[in-house]
Amino acid sequence: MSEPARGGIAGGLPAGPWQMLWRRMKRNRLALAAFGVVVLIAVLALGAEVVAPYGYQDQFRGGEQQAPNSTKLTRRPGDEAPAERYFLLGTDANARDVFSRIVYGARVSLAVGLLATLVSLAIGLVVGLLSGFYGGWIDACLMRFTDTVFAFPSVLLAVAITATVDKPSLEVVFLALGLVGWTGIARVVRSQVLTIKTQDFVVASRALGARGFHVLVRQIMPNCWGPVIVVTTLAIGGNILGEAGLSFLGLGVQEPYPSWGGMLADAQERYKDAWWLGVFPGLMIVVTVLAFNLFGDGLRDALDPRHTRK
Amino acid sequence: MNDTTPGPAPVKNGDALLEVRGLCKYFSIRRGLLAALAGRVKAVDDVSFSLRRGETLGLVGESGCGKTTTGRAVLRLIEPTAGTVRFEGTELTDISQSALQPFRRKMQIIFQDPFSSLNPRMTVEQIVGEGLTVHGLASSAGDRRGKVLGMLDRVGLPAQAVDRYPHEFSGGQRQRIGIARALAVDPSFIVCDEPVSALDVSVQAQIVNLLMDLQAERNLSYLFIAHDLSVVEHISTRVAVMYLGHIVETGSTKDLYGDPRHPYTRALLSSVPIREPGAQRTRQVLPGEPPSPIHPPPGCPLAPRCPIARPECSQKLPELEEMGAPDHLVRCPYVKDLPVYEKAGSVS
Repeated sequence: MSEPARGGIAGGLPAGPWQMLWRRMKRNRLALAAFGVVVLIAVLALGAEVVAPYGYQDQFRGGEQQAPNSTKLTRRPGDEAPAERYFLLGTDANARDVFSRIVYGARVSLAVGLLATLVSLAIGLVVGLLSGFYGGWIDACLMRFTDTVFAFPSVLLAVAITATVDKPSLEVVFLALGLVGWTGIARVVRSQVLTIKTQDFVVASRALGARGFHVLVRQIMPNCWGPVIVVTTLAIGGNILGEAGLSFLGLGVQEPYPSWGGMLADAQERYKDAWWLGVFPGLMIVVTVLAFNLFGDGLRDALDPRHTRK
Repeated sequence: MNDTTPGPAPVKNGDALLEVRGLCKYFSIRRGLLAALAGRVKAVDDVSFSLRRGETLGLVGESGCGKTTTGRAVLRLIEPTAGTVRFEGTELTDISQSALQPFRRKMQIIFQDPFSSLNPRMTVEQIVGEGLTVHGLASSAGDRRGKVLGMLDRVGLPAQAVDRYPHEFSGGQRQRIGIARALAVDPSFIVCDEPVSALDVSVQAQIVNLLMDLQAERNLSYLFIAHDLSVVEHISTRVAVMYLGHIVETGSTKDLYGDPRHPYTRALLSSVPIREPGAQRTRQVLPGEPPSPIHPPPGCPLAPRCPIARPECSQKLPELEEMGAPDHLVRCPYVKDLPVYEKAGSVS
């Protein structure tokens, strides 16, 4: 009874929840690799000006639909003389560099993925917290509403929202996806609140005279995060896919700004003679979504002590 | 139990700090789409007791008998179904939660599980200081920290503990943090909900001693809920035995342990191991399991398992009757003339 024990069960372990999480994550190579991919794509998006060799709307006359890994003498508007230029992933029908457009497109995908998820998280958090904490008719009403939103085909709902706006833009896309995708988060938050609100430390807080909102925000909410972080990470992947779908349908970010979904749509008519137009943006979507999903799965495993891999 | 008329007062005393009469808590079991009432669990049924300043009432009984529910209903952490709770002369059961606020300071609770009772995301300062903030008992952040440090010192924790998180402490230390939290608002009554049953025996003694020292120092009253009969004997002034939501016997610790009357109390006491190598005790084992509180047996809840049950026992629940000594109440009319309980193997 002298010094507080530092560390947890096995002596010397710094047992803070974040260190624990990191330790468990480290063992899961796949999730770690996925996290690396996520970071890489984030670097691409943030440093697009540095990473991309050309601008996303630079047109190189004489270099229309060049195959990947090719060099061609082209002339950009404003150029005094044509120059030899290298195109890593080829060019599109408008003679724009595909690699540069993919790098800039990462911005759209990540921005929409994150912002839409943030919108979903905000709504899901409020709905889930109130529903779980107050229970009774508030819970019944909020959860039936959640079920109703959940029952709509989400892409269709997002299409409907974006289609009602005159000019689709980034804001409209992430708001639409966010307004549609919060149901899963709300349910997870609610279930967390239901578990936590019966714990003794919450009872202790009420016994001390703390009232509703204080108990919810100070005692319950900080203990919800684990599973919520997991569903949120998985939701990012879903929203990136949703954005690609909307862009593919022409309801996303508008030309000339590139988005992976929009590039896929352009590639459709030309897939026979310009396969690279579709393959590379498609691969990026797959890799990014997969990375977020694997990372989310890894987080879930790391946070759940009962779930051990192999 | 059909009526909820209050039983006779265990203590006829005007200066009782806490006076509980006919306390009931029924939980409704609802099933199906329209939440039809499928049954009721009478977790606490017509429980009455009172507590004076500086006194400890031990509440014993096996798991699921309603001890914890009683403790929480007294504090209105669970809304009682019926009954009254008077604290310092004020009726607490019919006032609003906001009117209850000043009493939250005076009535506190200590929990069984030292792990789930502390918020893992809060520092010790935040945990112990929460009550100070809620009730405006600290004039500034520095004042609050000072008061928390004083509290930690009193419960035997080092000052460095103040900025640490609960997971950095052992079970006994965590229990001290829980005691400091309850004590920080300077209460006069504390519900101790099995405060030592999750701890090692050596640590149990330390915590029990701490609780008794604090009681002597601050004239605290405890409602000490436990299933460990030796601990209860050590700390309690009076003891009440619960079975299936009812108090079956209550009396001073001396009377209850020296002259137990109710068959359930006797069986319970005979289950306590004897601290004497080789000592034998004639154990009274009750056959069967406690019945489900959803479908309690009619009449006396012990009747199906009782060694001295008669047909009448299943007709009507007996009242608490005074037997042997004043304030020694027993809910069984057939044990008045029992031979004195032989406390086999007891060394004293």
